[in-house]
Amino acid sequence: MITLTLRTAPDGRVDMTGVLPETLAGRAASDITAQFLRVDGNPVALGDLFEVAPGEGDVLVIRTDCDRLDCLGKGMTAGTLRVEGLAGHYVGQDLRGGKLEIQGDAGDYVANGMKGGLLRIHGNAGDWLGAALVGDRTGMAGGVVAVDGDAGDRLGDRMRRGLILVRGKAGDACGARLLAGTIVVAGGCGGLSGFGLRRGSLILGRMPESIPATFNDAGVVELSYLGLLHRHAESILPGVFPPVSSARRYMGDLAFGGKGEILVLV
Amino acid sequence: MLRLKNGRVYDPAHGLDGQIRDLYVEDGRIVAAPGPDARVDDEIDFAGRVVMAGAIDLHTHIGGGKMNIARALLPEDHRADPVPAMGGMHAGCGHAAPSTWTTGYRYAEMGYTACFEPAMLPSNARHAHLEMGDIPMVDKGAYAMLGSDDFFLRLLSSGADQRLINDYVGWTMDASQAMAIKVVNPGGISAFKFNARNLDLDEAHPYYRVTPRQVIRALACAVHDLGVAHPLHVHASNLGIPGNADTTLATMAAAEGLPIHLTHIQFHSYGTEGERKFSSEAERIADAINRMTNVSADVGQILFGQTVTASGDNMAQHRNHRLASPDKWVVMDIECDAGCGVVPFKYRDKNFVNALQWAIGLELFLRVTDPWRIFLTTDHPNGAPFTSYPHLIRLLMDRSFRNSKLDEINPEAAAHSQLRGMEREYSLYDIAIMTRAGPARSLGLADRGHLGEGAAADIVVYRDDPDREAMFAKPEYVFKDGELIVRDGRVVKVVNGALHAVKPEYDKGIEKPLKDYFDRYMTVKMEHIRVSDEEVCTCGASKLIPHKCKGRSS
Repeated sequence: MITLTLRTAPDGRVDMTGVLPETLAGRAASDITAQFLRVDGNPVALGDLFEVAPGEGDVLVIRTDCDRLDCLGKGMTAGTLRVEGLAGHYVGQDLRGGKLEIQGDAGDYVANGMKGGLLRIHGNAGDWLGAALVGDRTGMAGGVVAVDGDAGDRLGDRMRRGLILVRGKAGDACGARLLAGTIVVAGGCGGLSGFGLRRGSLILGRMPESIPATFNDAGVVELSYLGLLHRHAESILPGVFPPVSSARRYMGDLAFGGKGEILVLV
Repeated sequence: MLRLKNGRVYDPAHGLDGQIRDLYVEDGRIVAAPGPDARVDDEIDFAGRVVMAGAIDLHTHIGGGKMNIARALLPEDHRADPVPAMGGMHAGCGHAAPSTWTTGYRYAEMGYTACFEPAMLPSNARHAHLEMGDIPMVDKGAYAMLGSDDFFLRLLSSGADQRLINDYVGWTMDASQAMAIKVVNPGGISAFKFNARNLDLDEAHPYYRVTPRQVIRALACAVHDLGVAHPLHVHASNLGIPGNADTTLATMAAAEGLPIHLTHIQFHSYGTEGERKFSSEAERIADAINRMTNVSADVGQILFGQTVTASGDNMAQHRNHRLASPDKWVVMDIECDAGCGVVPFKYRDKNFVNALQWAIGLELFLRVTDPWRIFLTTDHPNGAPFTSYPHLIRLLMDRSFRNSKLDEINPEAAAHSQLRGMEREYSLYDIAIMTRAGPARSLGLADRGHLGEGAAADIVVYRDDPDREAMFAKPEYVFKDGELIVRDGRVVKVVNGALHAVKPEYDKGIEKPLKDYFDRYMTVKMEHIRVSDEEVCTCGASKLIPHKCKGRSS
C-alpha cells in the first residue's frame, strides 16, 4: 500500500492526473516525490504537496482534508485508489477499471466518460455525475457508481451504459437526456426528472417532485428484472433497492422517442 | 552589437550555400561587418552549425474563425494533448487545432518566425486579427477571401469596369488589414447556396451567371493592377475530385499570364486512371508549373494520422462530410459572404486513396524543379498539423527514409506511384529557398527570409544532424528581431509578433456604393467592418508593418 498525505491545503486546484495505483506501483519514494503535478496549470513536484509512504501492492491511499484535489482516479484501469477525505471535481473521469473509493464528499463531474470499474462515494456527489465529458456527446458508458449520500443536478445526463446507485436523493433534471443504462435513486429527485430521456431506466424509490408532461403513466406493472436488480444492488450498496417486483411506470420522454421509462417503486 | 561567428550560412537570396560567414546584429537588424575597433558586446560561436533566416509559412490556418469552430468541435483533440504552463508560457492544448498560444510556441520552437493565415473573411477580419494577435512569437499576416461574396459577384455579373473591381479589392485589403487576396473555389461557395454541388471552371454560376474563370481573371488582374506583391492565392475548383488535374491546368491558363499562386496543389493533382479511378497526375501538374513561370504553388502535403480539415470550400467539405472521423462535422454560411466547412479526418497509410495522396504530394515536391516557386506546406491542419514539417523535410532530403516509408503504405498505392524511382533529394539550400527566401520573395517581404545587411535579425541555428527530422524539429538557437527566443528547441523568451499588411492605393469613391450596399444588406455598417491601423495593435500585434504597393495602371 502506498500512502500520500496532503501536507497543507494547496493555494490552487491540484490536477491529480497520473497519480494512480498503476503508475506509482513499484516506484521508489524519491521517484514518486519528483513526479510533477499541476497546480492551477503550473508544475509543482508531488513531494512538495504530499508526504509519501511507499509500499507494496496495488492499493493507493490519498489522505486529504481539503476539496481541491481534482481528477482523482482519472483514466484508472486497475488496482484500488482510496481517498480518505474529500475529493474535488472530475473524480473518476474516464475511469476504465479497478476500484475507486471516496470516503468523503465529491465535487462536480464525477464519473464523466467512465467506461468501467467501481466507484464508491460515501458522502455526497455534486452535479453532472455520470454525464458526458465537456464537449462529448455521450456520458458514462460502463461500470458502477454507488453513492451513499445525495447527488446533485443532472445526474446521469446523456449516460449510455452502466449502473448508478444513489442512496439519498438527487437534484433537478435527474436522468436528463439519458441514452441507455440504469439509474437508481432511493430518495427520489427534484423537478424535470428524465427530461429528454431516450432509452434506459430511471428508477426512483419515491415519487419525484414532478413528472414532465411528456411522460405517459402506464400504470403499475410487474417487472421480473427488478428482482435481479435487487440482488445485484444488494451486493454493492445494501438496502438501496428494496425486494419488489412491481413499479409504477411512466413511459417517455415522448418528445424524444418515448422508449425510456421512469419507474417509481411502490 | 552581437557577433554570430563561424556559422555555415544558407542564404539563397544572396547565393550563400553553406559558406562560413560571421553575422552582426544590432538593434534587431543584421548589419554590415563593422571595423576592427567596433565594440562587440556578445559573441556566439556557431562553428559547424547550420544558419538560416527564420522560416516563413505562407499558408497555415491559424486564425480566421475556422479554428475556433474546429476547437469547439474537437474537445478530444484538446484533452489528448495538454501543454502545461512553464517559464512565462501560457498553458495550452491541442494537436490538430492547438490553442493560439501553443500554436505560436510550437512554430517558434521549429524555427518559424512568420506565419500567414490564408483565409480571412473580410467580415470576420476583426476576429481574425484578435486571434492572430493572441498567437505569440511569430509575425503574422492574412489573406482576405473574395470571389464568392455578393458585392463582387454583382459587380462582375453587371459587367462592371475592371477599375471598379480594383477599387473594391483595394478597399477590402485596406479595410481588413490583409496581405494578399485569396479566392476559394471561385464562385463555388456562393453557388453551393444556390444548390449547386459542383461548379466547373467554365460553368456559369446558377444565379449570377458568371464563371469561375471570370472570377479568377478579374481578381488576378486586380491584384496585379494594385501592385500587391503576392499573386492571387487560388484554391481551385473541384478540390479532391478524381480527374481534377484538368481543372487545375485550366485554372493556371485562366490567369492568362498574370501571376497566380495555386495553393495545396496536392489536392488538385488527381487523375481517373486505374481500377479505382483514382491516380496521380503530379507529372502533368509539375510539368505545367515548370513551364509557366507566372505560376507558383504550395503543396499541402498530407501526412498520416488524425487531423481536422477546415476550409472555406463548403462544397468540398459538404462532399466529404461522410468521411468525417470522428463522425461530426460543420458546414456553415458566414454573413452571406462566404462559407466554412470543418470536417475532422484521419489519414491512414493503409488506405489506397490516402496513401496515394501522400505519394502525389511528394511527387510534386520532387518534380517541380524550381524551389523558388513551390513552398513547403501541409495546409495546416488540412493535410497534417504544422508540427509535422520536420518529418516532411526529412522525406524530401533523405531518399532511403522516403523509400522505407513507401514500403509501409498501401502496397497498391505504392505500386501506382513513381515515387520509388525518383532520386532527387532536397539540399539544405533548396530547403532554405522553399521555407525562407521563396515565401519572402513571393510575399514581398524585403527584409525577411534572408540574412543580408538590413534584414530583420530573424535567425535560426541548427545542429547539422544527419537525421534531418531531429535537426529541423529542434533548432539550437532561434533569434526573433535580434532577441534569443528559443534555445535547444524550447522557448526561453516570449515575444509578440508584428502584423504584415499591404497598403494598396485605390479610389475612395468606392465607399459610396459600398456604404449603400452595407446599409441595405449587411448586418454591420461599412464603417464598423474596417479594422484601423491602431486597432491591429489593440488586437495584440506588437506593431503593424505596412507594405506599400506600387500600383500598375491597367
